[in-house]
Amino acid sequence: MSANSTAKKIVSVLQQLPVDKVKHYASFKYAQIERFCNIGGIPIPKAVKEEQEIQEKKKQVLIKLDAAKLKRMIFSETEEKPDYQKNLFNEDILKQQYKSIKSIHENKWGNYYAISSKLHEPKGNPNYYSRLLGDINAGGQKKEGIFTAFKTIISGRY
Amino acid sequence: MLSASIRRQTQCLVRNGVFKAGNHINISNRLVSSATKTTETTIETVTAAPSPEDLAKESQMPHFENPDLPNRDISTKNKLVKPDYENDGFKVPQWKRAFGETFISLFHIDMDNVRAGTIGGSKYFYMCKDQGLQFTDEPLSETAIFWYETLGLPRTFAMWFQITTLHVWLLFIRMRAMPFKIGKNYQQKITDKLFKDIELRLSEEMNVLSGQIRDTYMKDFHSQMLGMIFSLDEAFAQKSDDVLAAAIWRNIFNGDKNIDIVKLEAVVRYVRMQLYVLDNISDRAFGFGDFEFVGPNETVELLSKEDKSQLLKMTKIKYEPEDGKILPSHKSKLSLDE
Repeated sequence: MSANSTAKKIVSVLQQLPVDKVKHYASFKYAQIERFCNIGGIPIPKAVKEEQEIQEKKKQVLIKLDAAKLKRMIFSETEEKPDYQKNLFNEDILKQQYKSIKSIHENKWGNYYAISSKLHEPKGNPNYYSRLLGDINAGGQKKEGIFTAFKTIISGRY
Repeated sequence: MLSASIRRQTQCLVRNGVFKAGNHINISNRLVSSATKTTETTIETVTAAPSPEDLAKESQMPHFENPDLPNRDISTKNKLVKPDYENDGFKVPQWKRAFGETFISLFHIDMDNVRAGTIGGSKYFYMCKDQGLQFTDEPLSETAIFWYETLGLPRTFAMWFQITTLHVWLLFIRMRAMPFKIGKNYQQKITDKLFKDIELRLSEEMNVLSGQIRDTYMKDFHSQMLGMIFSLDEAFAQKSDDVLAAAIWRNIFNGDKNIDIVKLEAVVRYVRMQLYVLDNISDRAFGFGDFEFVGPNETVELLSKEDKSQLLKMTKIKYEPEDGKILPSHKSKLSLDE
């Protein structure tokens, strides 16, 4: 099996990862798909490119000043592209990476160290996680009624 | 004879104080098995899984320096002096103890409330902040070696904050499962102490003399903390390692594109291992400060049903002895069973 086919396998596992429900400054899934496509010489999927474009547009609105980075951007002669150090990757390294991403995706450690409902439905705040998930799934757009809002504020519970 | 590492282990985890080393060595040994175990030990042990440190060390991928995150060690010159009460083996003089017990019993002090400060805000906070402390030219602690050398994270103040917050979050998970009022109090105390400590470190160790600048940094750290707790909570609620790994990648590995996924898996494993221990400790033992983080070079073995019931039994013997004599400061409403 060549290194490229292992990279392909890594990308296929990465594509199965869930999309972030809340947009963050970077997406693990898309960043890593791009990286391993680059390493394995695989064309970057369309969905990832689209996502990157959206991120780029956002970045133009929110400019974070970083003196060192700006210096590099201004004074470097070539255009700065992420350096994935492609030549350092060999078959063994990629296989290890594949094994790890697979065990993360298969929930290996979550299943091995399974925990009871004691922590998932904490007795001090039983609805904490279900409400958090509900709000995340609703995209943070769900409005709370005035009575439940008062209840939350006064009791501190969810 | 037990090796030093085993002896150290017997002091940690759930059995800390619950199991007396020596009498219950078999059970404690089954709870935690160290990767650093030496051959001296004659006790039969089965290593369940490689420790997070061993897992991370297996990786053959070379470490890529991230030019955006250079190392910025904290100078030893400005190092905060550890107060006596933070050191191991610190004991309160007998007369102070007696005075305290009388005071508590006389005024009917609610000790669960007091304990939130002495255990949650002090002992547990010191445990969290010690994980990633590092200074120039000073040997790293065992846990710091894992974070900075094995995982290759940048040695900066921000990294220390991220590592500390990860551990604070682990404790938050357990504190939510305590009775509401008490758990909330523990959470409040540990957060207060964290920000008090950050302010002190910024002014002393980082030499930020302007109060206004310190405040801006603290606001930044606060929003970082909210974001981190939110994404880790989301991962915990979804019961998914995928989401947890992504949250750790963003918050511990600083969204590094060249991340070594083996190391990411090691941290996921580390977090899951701690949660397993926190799940198996009773409210009473946790509230009394009998929890310690399992080191990254140690591994936790799964508990059988008998082990769990034995653990609860031992907790009961420790906190509610059969002769019924409980010191006023040891009175508590916290559950012994869950």
